This record gives sequence, structure tokens and C-alpha cells, in this order.
Amino acid sequence: MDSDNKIRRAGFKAFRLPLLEMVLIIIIFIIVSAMITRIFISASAYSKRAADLRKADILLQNAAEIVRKDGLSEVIFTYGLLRSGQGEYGNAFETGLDEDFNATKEAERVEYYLDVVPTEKHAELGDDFYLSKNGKYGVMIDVYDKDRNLISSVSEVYVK
Amino acid sequence: MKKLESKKVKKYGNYKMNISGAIIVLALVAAILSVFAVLSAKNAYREMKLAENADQRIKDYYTADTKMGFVFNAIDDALAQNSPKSLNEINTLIAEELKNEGVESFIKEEEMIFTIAIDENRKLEACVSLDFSNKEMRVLSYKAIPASEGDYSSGMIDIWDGVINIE
Repeated sequence: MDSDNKIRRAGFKAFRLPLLEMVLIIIIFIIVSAMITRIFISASAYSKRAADLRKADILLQNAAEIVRKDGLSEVIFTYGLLRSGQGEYGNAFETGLDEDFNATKEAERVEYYLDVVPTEKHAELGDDFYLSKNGKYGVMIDVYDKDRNLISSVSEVYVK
Repeated sequence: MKKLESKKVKKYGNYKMNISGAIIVLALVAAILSVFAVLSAKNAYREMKLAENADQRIKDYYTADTKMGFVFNAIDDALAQNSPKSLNEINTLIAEELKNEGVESFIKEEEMIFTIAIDENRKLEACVSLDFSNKEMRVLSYKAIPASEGDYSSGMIDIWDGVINIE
């Protein structure tokens, strides 16, 4: 019986650690857990950036193709752009789009903002010039996320 | 050894915590989670870089497209203002615009071909024909093509360590 107890105690002792070592192990666990969480947060941020970029690219390409073929008026009609202010060379236009790129005025549904701004000086001809189908000019197209961070931008698309 | 142990006991007391199977499982879970975390971060990072590359390609394309637009504009102006009679004359009239925008031009029979580099691997090629009597320009083709084309004049293509005879 005594020898049994000795063996049991000896075995039990093998799975016991002093407090200092245990505290050390817990600290290591906390650090490792924090690192894992940090890595997952980074992965999530990378994925979000990639998804935003891909969506912004689709939007940019669509808008740019419409602008270069049919002019500013057509992209205003397609995406429901509204005058948002005065750019350097004419009115700036903007719209809030939901995740399917439909224009929306409900702030909580806005996923992207699309901005279109003329980049060439035809100011003396007025906005009619930019909205006519005969004008030749450039426009800048920007896509922002709902927090107004720039995702992607095409500095100039020439309307031919 | 016993002396050392007794010193430790004096210093930290005799308190000891149990280390159980749960802690071993926790260690394993932490190890597995770190592997998954690193793999998913690596994958997401690659995806982001790919998306950034695609984004850059689109920006480069529209930069080249805009430059080509300025050249077309210059051709329109030259046709309207100077009444040129030949493609060579047009080429001379728009030479400065071509130089400014980095566009190369070639005359091939009755057509003018303009090329501009989009990036290292692609160039934008526009083929236009001009109607001098009506002062009109027609774009026959407008496309992004590979920057370099294969040279098959020798009839042989080197592929890795072998050679294919294409004749």
C-alpha cells in the first residue's frame, strides 16, 4: 500500500509545476494568443482591402468606359450622380452607392462613394459644355468607401 | 540538488500548481491556431497584392487611353485647321503632340497606327484611317496588345532546352 502511494505521488509530482514556471507559461499563452489575434485582424484587413479594391475596380472601369464613350452626362444618368460642389474646372459630381452599385440616398446603405470631377479648363463654356456630347475633356474618377477613405482613383479619363 | 530545492522552497514557498491534460490541449490548440493565422494572413496578403496589381493595370490602361485621346484630338484639330492632304503631312503636324505623349506612329498603306506603352507587358494600339475630303477620322481598331511579339522569321523557336521547327 505504501509503495503504491509512493508511486502515485511520484507520478503526480511529474505533472506539477512550481508557481513561477506556471505564471511564465500563462504569460507566454497570453502573448501567443495576442499574436494570433493580431495576425487574424491583419488577415481580415488584407481581405477587406482586396475585396474593396476589386469592387472599386469594377466600378471605376464601368464609369470610365461610360465616360470615355458617352461623356459625363451619361455617367451622371447611369449612377445617379448629383452636384456635390465646385471642382477646379467645373462642377464636381458625387453619388452614394450600395453594395450592388445602385445609387442610394439612405446613409446606412451606402457602401461606396463615386466622385466624378472635370480635369480640363472649359469653365468659360459652363456646365453645358461638360454635359454635351460634343465636348472633349478629361474627368477624374474616384471611389471612396463609406468612411470616405479613397480606395482607388483614375486621374484622368478622356472623353473622346 | 536537495539543497537547491530547499533554497527554492524557502524563496517561493512550497506551492505548486497542477499541469493537466487541458493545458497540453490548450498548447496544441494555440499551435494549430498560429499555423492557421499565419496561413490565412499570407493568403489574404497575396490576394490584396493581386487586387492592387489589377488596380494598377486599370490605372495604367486609362493613363495610356487618355494620352491616345490627346493624339486623336490633335489629329482632329490638324484636319480641321490645316487641311492636310496626306498621312505624312498629318504625321508632321501632330509630331509635337506625339512626342509629348510618348506615342509612336507608323503609316501602313492607307492607315495610321499609333502605339503607346501601357506597362512593361502591354501597349495600346490604335489603327485609324483618315478621310481628307470630309476631314474625318475613323478608328478602325483600338486594343491593348502584348508589348513584344515573337520573332518567327528564322522558322525556329527555342523552348527550354529544345528547338521547335515551325516551318
